[in-house]
Amino acid sequence: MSHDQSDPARLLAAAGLPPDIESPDVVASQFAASRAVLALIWSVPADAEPVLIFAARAAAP
Amino acid sequence: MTGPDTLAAAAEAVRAGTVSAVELVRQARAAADRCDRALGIFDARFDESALAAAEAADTDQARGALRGPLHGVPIAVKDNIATVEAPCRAGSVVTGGGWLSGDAPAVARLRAAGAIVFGKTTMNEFAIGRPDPGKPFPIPRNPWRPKHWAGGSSSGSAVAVAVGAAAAALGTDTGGSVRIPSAFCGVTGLKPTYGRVPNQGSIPAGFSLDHVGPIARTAEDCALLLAVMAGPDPADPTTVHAPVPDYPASLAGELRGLRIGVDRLSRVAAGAAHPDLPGRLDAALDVLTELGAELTEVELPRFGELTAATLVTAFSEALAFHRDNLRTRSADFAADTRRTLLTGAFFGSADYVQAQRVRAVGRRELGNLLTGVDLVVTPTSSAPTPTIEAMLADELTGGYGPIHTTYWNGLGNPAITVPIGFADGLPLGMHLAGRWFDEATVLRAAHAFQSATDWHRSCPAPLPDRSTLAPH
Repeated sequence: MSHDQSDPARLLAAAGLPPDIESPDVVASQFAASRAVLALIWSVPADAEPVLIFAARAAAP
Repeated sequence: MTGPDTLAAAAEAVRAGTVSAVELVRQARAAADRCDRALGIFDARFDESALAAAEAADTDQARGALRGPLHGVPIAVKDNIATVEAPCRAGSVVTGGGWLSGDAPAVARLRAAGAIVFGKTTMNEFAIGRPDPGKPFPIPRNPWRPKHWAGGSSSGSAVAVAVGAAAAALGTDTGGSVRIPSAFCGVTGLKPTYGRVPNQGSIPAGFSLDHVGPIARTAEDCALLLAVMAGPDPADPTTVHAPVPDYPASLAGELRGLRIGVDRLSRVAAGAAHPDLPGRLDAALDVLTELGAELTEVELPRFGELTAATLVTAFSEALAFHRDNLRTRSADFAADTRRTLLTGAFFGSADYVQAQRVRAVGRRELGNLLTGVDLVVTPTSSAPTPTIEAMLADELTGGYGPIHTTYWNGLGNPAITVPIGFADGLPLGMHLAGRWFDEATVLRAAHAFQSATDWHRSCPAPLPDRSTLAPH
């Protein structure tokens, strides 16, 4: 199932959150902030990096 | 106001029989009685059980049966970490009568070493966001200037230590929640390496970013606490079987030859930096140089990108944990918690994976930097804590704007904040971070700094009457 990544209301619905969880202004500002954060992480060339979410054991001496 | 003893001094005095555990608990109780209502330190106090434990500790001490290095010393615990005395409320009405029972492993280890749990401390709801005046929890005030915020999210733990209502305290740190209130309240706070101290028995904020850590008056106190808490727990898959050094013994080394990289982060703080910060930081760096450290200017790799990756991770993991409650009872959450959690819905699965890739890139690049230096020093925050009014009004950053701690949670490296002076009468902190599992070097440098300075001995003036304070 794909979601329109530019529509905050649809993203909230996809997460099962009620549409009136916050005012439209708050939702819009949080959505704008999230886009700024995403622009930063997608600016890093990281395609080949392994994903080690619980990496502590791997890094232990 | 007489400064509270350090944990190390209190523990030594109990061992020597020059002070009793009962006296220490009574001192903590007196400080709590004096300050709690004005500053909002405790969510729960255990005066009776603490006094009973202290009496038992004194009986044991009299017959030479010390339980461990923390025998008879009162501590406080952030209210998202389990203790047998009371379930966790975590600053939230969502927890109802409280979550979790029994002692978290970190608490159990402190208790086995002789510590006495005196109370559970106030915090930002679920260690997320900012306080909400509309909820039935106090907004923790700064002991240096009560119209200012204590910092978060381990707010009450830092205030308790600053005013002597506990010899030390536990906090949790997902984006800086041990180090931020420690810096804002003028005490010392350590985020251990990810996996060094069990998170089991604490309410998660971000599974892959959470750290249980000590808040105390000194790095020496943090070393004593870490020595007790560190080590794997079979029920906690995030903990590691790395050797645990003798942290108190490791404090003795000198700094001659220690290579310290300095990143002032002025490119990040921009206009949010306080004009007094450069002078305070330079003076602190001069002390490290006089102690024999070799300082070089460095630039931490990908500071903005790694901070962003940590936020994507934190918001996503927090939403995953709280989603069911957020769907059915969103109004019960504090406003800023709700806003933070809903932001997690704006990140997709690919975004989460990319955030982990960025963390991997950062870990490699920071690892390269840490082959040329042993530690990296930055300001903990480029400005002291805001007023409560400004913190609540700041919709964009909530007072977290000039803070530089979040970067390190995405990387997992150990880091400590130590007091380095004041700006406008409010504390500033210096942040020292090291290699994975090298808390010993972090603590050694911080201890040497504190052996040559007095900032950590500063204590807040007696509090004004609450009637003179602004609302909130």
